Amino acid sequence: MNRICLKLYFIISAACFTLLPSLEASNNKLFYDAVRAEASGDLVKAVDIYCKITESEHSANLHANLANLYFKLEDYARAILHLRKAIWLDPENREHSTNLAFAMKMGGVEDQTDLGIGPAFSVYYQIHWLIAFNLLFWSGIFVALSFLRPSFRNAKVCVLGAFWVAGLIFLGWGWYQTTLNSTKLSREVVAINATPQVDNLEKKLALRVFAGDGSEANTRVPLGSSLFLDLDDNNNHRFHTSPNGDKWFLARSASGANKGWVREEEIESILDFPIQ
Amino acid sequence: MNRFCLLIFWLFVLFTPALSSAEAVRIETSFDPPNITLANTSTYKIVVHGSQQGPVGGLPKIDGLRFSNPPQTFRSASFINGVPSVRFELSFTVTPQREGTFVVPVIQLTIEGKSYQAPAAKLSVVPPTQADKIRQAERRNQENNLKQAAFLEFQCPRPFLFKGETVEATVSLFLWDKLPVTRIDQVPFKIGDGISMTELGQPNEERGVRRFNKSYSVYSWKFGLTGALPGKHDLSFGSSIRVRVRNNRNSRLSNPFFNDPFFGFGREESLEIKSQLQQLEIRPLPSLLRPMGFQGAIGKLSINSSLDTNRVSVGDPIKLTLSISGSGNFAAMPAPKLSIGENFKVGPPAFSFKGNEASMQKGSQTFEFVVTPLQAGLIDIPPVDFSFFDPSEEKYFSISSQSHSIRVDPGEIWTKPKQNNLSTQNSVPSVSRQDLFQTESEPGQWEENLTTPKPLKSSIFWITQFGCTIIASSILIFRIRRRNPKLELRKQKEKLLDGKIREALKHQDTSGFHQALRRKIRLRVGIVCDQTNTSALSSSEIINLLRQKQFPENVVTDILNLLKVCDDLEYAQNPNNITTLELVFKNASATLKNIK
Repeated sequence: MNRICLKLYFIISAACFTLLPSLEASNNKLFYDAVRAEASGDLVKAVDIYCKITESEHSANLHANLANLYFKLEDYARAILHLRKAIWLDPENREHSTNLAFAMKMGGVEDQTDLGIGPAFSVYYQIHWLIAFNLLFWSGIFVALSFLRPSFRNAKVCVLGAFWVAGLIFLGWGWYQTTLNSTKLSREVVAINATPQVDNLEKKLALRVFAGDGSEANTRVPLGSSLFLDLDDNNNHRFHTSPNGDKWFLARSASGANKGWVREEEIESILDFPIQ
Repeated sequence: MNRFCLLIFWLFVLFTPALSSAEAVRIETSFDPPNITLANTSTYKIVVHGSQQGPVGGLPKIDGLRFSNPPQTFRSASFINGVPSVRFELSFTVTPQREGTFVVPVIQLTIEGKSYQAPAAKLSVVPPTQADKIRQAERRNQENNLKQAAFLEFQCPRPFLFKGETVEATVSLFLWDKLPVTRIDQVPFKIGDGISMTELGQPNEERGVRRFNKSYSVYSWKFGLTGALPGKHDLSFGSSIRVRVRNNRNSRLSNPFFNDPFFGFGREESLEIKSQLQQLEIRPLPSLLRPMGFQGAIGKLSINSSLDTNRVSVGDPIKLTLSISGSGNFAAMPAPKLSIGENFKVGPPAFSFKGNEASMQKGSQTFEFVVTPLQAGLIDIPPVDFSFFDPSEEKYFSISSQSHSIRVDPGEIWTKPKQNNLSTQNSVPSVSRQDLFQTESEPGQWEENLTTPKPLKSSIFWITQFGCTIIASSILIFRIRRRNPKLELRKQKEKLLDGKIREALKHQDTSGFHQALRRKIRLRVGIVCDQTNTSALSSSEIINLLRQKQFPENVVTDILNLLKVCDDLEYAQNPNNITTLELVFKNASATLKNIK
């Protein structure tokens, strides 16, 4: 039995190692197909191909191209969404940021992406903060264990110790801030589909009072705006399933002042999140 | 069933020794029949009576006779008139190769560890009779008929190929209409190295083709044949078909095809077919006058290029299509190198072939490049050069595609809007101009998912923490084990003395300085020489201890001098000796550093 399990394990591992590069190669081919489709003027086909690729893999250039296509198709909300994804994957690329600013201006969306505490505490540096904290913590422990003796009672040791503790507090606080930003980003979604309106030509997403189509709107936000999903006690996204099977999420505006229920199809998250 | 098997096993175990011990071992040899014609075969038998064990030994080589190998074996056990009898038989089929009388001499055989002699046996081979000759002629006739019933024919349009050259060759399978073929088991396959071929597709079928005064159905496959290795190579083709044959198990000839196979109703047999061997020469490509841009294209080819548009904006991709047409090695043809300057970014080409997919020899190979203009203006796409070797003329040719002019507009430009802020109205607005929304032609690095990093859920993080904890614990345990409270107490005392010395130096307390210095010297020497009661050590004892510990003589002398200075100056009470004290302190510190 163990042998069979072992064989199965090796076969599956070998298959994975064989199939993974082929998946990447097939996505490269699809990407080039999409570029050619765009070159030949078939923007919808190019969008379809890019969307098919995103089901399995992502790249900054893919999302940037997809955003460009949506921009050309005048779907600014999705252009903003995919530019945010492109920036997440390649934060150093200034073209994406410039394009995002332009797309937001075209879409009439205010810039809400500023997290307010500076780029040093952004999610990109989360691991750096943690590594710095660990390095300081363990180096202090090792130095103390190796060289510190009960006879050392002079002021230098105390000062060094105080600096060490202060450094740990600062790095821990930095790490905590990046964690908060990380949580916030994992809750962030972009409004992409407008609520059907008969009397209102402006395309906006309604944040409803109750989780249902017939409910009144608390407020309306322009498409492309960032919303933040509420979490339940288990830190999962709070949602409600209506009798017809629709999933509704409780979303808040960036300032937190306005909140309401939105349907799953009306929003899309910047990062992957599991909806249970 | 198991019990029955067990019973038989025990009976066999019990009776085998009884049977074998009941009769003495005896060996007989014979030819059956002893007289044959050259067209027939005989059987050479070795019969061992009284044992069921196979004899060990070897047959001598008899010139003119061929023995089948391995022989057939037969074991028997019986009771004859109440006496047990066992026997072991070895039968070799003997085929004569010439006429004459042949004698198999006495053979030494080993049975059950004992050596025995097998007697000689004689076989007489006489010339074939008239009936034998008729049968042989019939057999040859049938063999010829069988060869003509199904055969393969391979046709190559050229007697030699150049290395890398692809030609369209044909292999044809001829099946006699009277041959009851049920199916083609295996399509023709190549036998021979140095030449590669494309896969065979669906064959062309032709009926009623006349050959050898017979009517045939012919299945022809066209395929691409490419010379791979220079030299002369033997090439042939093989195939196999299924033929229905009549059941005739009583035939003396075991081959079913020699017994009127063409009208049988019975089982199916496989028939292997081979074409005649052909020699094909592969010549290397001439190196003389080979163009620099030659990439291995061989054939008669032409090039054409086209653009999907001639007016675009900066960053918009254009499709440049290069089409190479004619006959040649399209399967191995690389894309032409595109050198169209720094005004364009070129993506990898897409390949497509139109023509005979089976041979990939005639048709048109298209390479689609995605070209992105990087600058605005009227820009020329220069002609693309392409070199190939023409095997019929045995020369290299270089051809070029036509050039194209395209108009590239500057594209959409975004000007950052002015801030509606009173404080910034007076300042000069900074205007950012940048080309927007350019399509990237490369996918970049792939990521499997878009998630925030979760280092606290990473196994590497926790392994690192665990490792650090283990190291820290080890250091702690090591230090606790090595901890010596007496030594630490002494070191603490030494520190206190250091403090006293400094204090005395500060207050110019000569007496206190020298007292403390002497105590420190005692303590240090006591620590180093593992003495418990250091305060009781006299100067001479200190010196003796240092010598016992084999410290250098200069160190011992320095300590001796220091002790002498301490003894001399402890009660000197000289107020002007602060400089001397500092000097002594420096000397003492330097000397004590050497005592460790």
